[in-house]
Amino acid sequence: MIEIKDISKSFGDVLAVDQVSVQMKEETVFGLIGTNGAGKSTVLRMIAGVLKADKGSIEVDGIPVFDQVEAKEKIFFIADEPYFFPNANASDMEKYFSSVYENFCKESFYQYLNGFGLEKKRKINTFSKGMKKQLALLCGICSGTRYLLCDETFDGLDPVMRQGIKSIFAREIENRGLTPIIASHNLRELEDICDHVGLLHKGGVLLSKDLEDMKCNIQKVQCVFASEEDRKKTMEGLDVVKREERGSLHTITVRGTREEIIGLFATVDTVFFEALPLSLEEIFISETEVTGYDVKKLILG
Amino acid sequence: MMSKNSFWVSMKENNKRRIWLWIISALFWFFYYPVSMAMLMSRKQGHNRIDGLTGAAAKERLVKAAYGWLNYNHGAIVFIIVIIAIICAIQGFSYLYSRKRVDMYHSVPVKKSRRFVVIFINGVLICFIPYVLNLFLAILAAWISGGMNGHNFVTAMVTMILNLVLYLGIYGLALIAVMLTGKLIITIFAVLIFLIYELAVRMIIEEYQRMFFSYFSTYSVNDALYLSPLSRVTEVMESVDRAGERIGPVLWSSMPSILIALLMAAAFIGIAYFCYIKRPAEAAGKTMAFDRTKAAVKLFLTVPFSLGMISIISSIVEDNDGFILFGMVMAVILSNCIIEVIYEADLKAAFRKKYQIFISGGCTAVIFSIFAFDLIGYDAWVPSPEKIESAYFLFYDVNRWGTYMDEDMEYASPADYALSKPGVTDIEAICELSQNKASGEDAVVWLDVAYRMKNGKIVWRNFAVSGRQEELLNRVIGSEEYKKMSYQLYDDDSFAFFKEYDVKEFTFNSGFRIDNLPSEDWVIFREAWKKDMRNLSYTGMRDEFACGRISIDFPVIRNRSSWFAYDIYPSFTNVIAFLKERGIDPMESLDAEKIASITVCNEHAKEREAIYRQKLEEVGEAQASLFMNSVDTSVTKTYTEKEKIEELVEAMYHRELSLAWKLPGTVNDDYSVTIRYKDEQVDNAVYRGSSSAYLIADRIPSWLESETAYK
Repeated sequence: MIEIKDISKSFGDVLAVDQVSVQMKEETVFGLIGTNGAGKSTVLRMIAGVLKADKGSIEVDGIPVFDQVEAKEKIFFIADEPYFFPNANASDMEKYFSSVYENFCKESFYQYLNGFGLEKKRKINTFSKGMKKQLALLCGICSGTRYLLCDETFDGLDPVMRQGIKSIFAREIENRGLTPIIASHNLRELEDICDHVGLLHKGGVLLSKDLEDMKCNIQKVQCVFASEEDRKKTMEGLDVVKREERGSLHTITVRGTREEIIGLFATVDTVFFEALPLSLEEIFISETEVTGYDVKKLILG
Repeated sequence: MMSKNSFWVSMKENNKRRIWLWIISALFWFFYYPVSMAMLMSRKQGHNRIDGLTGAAAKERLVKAAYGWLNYNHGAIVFIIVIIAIICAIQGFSYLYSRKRVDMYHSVPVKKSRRFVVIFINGVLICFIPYVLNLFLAILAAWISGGMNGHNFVTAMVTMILNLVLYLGIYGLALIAVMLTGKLIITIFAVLIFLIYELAVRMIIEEYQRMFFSYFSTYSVNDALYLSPLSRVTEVMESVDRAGERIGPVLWSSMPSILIALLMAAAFIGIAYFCYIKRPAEAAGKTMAFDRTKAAVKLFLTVPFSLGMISIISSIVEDNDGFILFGMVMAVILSNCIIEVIYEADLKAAFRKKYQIFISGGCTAVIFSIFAFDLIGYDAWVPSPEKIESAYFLFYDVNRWGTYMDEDMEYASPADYALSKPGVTDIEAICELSQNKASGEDAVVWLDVAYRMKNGKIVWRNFAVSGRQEELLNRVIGSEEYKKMSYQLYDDDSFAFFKEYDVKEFTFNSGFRIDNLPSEDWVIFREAWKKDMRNLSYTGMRDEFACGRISIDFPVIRNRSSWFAYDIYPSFTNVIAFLKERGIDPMESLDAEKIASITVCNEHAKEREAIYRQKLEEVGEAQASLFMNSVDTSVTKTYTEKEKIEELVEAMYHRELSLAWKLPGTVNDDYSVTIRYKDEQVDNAVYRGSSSAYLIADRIPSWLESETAYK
């Protein structure tokens, strides 16, 4: 587990991270979301041991991370602009990472490389931006580390690649307990990949929750009430987050467990009733409005 | 089996990133050593063939040539080592300038200390593995050609070790510069500043002492740069080069310098390591890596810069205090603003830290005032009799003739030589002389005086004394100690060393004639001369006109040639007898029969000055100076008549002879005399063609004054 306690970091007069506390559990995909300048990269660079926190502590499996080889052996950091040696090819990068990560798996690396259609002897400086990100991800996945820190790594990956990476993640999580931590400014990039989400804004954490927990507390239903009386009775019993009406069809986002909502609707007469899946965006809207933020502006632009 | 994350694997991986440096270093040393040596040997063998040299002489030429290339080569190799050290330091840690690279290197599981050591060691190996290999190839090439001997081999090894010490020092210094900065260009500036800062500050202080202290002695300037590995190592290299076959003892005596250079290198590397460990990753791309150093660095740069600018401005506008003050303010503001703009990479930031401008200005003003108003009482200082142990006196007109050598046969400055001897101990005379400083026309004897204090400190002052303080000067200048510290052959210890050597040339110069003396007789001469010198007082030197000069020229001893030249006075009866025994009469005056003509030029300096002053009032400085280009006040006359020539010969004092200790006006500076000899009188002993002379003021014939008068 990565445990971040009250970390703060300033660059000159600018407070980039302000008393952030988050726990990142093993074998889950942690999404770190926030606008540009929210402090995501700074948090990741601190977790990777690149930056030293001005205050607070970061521990990886109980080991402080800054300049601690034992902690860093558990982490692979993919920066927003991954660095590759000048004139290097994929094979050169593999050799370097093999020399610093004891458990780097060469077989898997070349297997994945082949699977992604990346040539091992082609110079990396001739790769496209997306190809470089794929290569960085493959280096990270094959490094054998428990934690994989990805800073905006998924931005710009095409859906097929995303799906490919997602399935590798799933396999690695299952096989060796990989814990990817993915920072992104775009919620939609993460919605199909994360188990747990932390929302950063202006250097602080707005929320950090399991997606499933969040999903349990908010429901979206579509229904056609049999009568106006049924509608009124139902609405009185609901904590409505959002409501839309198109003729007689109501689409309502409400707080509460699935059982509670279904139970409530069972007491009234409806022509049509269906519980719909919620997007991450909708969940966030409901979660952050409590704190008074307009999340659309923050993460959806 | 080698661990995946072992030190050697780290070294190997790091070297992969530095392969181009390995190639450049290897190629450079290959051309510098074996290729150049082979070419040199081939050229020298060609010279031997052309000159028909064979055997030992041919080998000697080859050995000398190889020695020239294997030693420090007059600084060429030092320059190269410095450049390579700077490049290796910057290239090795250049990743610190880039955030992308820092993110990768600092996130991988490698300890910072391990990374530093790996990059550091590789930086040394990049230079020294190719250096050593190619040096041995060069030695092989020289050996095959016949240009090697044991001395050359030892020289090459010693040079290699000294180069390694120098490399470590410069490398450490450059590493500190890399660690303190976040941009390549700033690092390069920082390295240059580190290399020249001490010298620059020393020069500024010296310049201020010259400008503001009336009694400042240049002998008090210490040339040694304490914080420069370059200065320390090159000093040793020069000593080793001069040592010749005595390389062992010289190296042994240089050991403290080598050890200090090594300790300095270790200290620099230690500081660089500390900075590396403490350096924040976010420093990449910033001008300065540590915010805390910004203010101090700015202060340490702006204050000397401002003081330097003030000294330049004051040399231009001289005594215009307003301009100097304006220059000081501008220099302080400008330097502070420029550095702040560089720090922030933002023009608008120029005046952001106004308080720092005030601090810098305050420090500049305080330091300037210390010198300008002599707040340390430099000029007011007079030695206290209770605190002085002895004193040393240096007089330029005496010390400029000949060389001084220390006991290792190294050239010594007159000051260093004097200080190695016992000083004058007549404390009363010393203090009285120091208090009776002369000025204006009375200031005729300019002395550099070193006071050896009882606490071991040496205090230098330069001041003039009146030549009329006969009694005091006789006690000081006429003392045995003064003669030992000023005339090296007077000193028995020095004489004991030199008498082991045959002299190359032993001559007597009367000012118009040079005669060779039997070189083996110089020891006899020295005995006679010492007897005469013992009796010589200040009054004697002041009032007597030298009748000639003895020169003793030694052959090259341990790569050094040395010569001594001493004035002979008419009162030197023993020396005159010695010379007469060898057919030379130093009292014999120039025979008018041998002279074809004497040309006398009267410059009329006073009249010229008067014209200039008048013009200055009329048209100003620039026009007056221009006008003076067309004014010629000199009057030149040539005399061929025997009577007039005889009278002029009586009044002449040959320019070849010394004017040391003479009172002003003893010779008339307005007159310059050129003597042309008759062709048939010119032989090897006589100056070929012509010689020049002064005219003794109270012997100038009245007819000459009227014939050369300015009209």
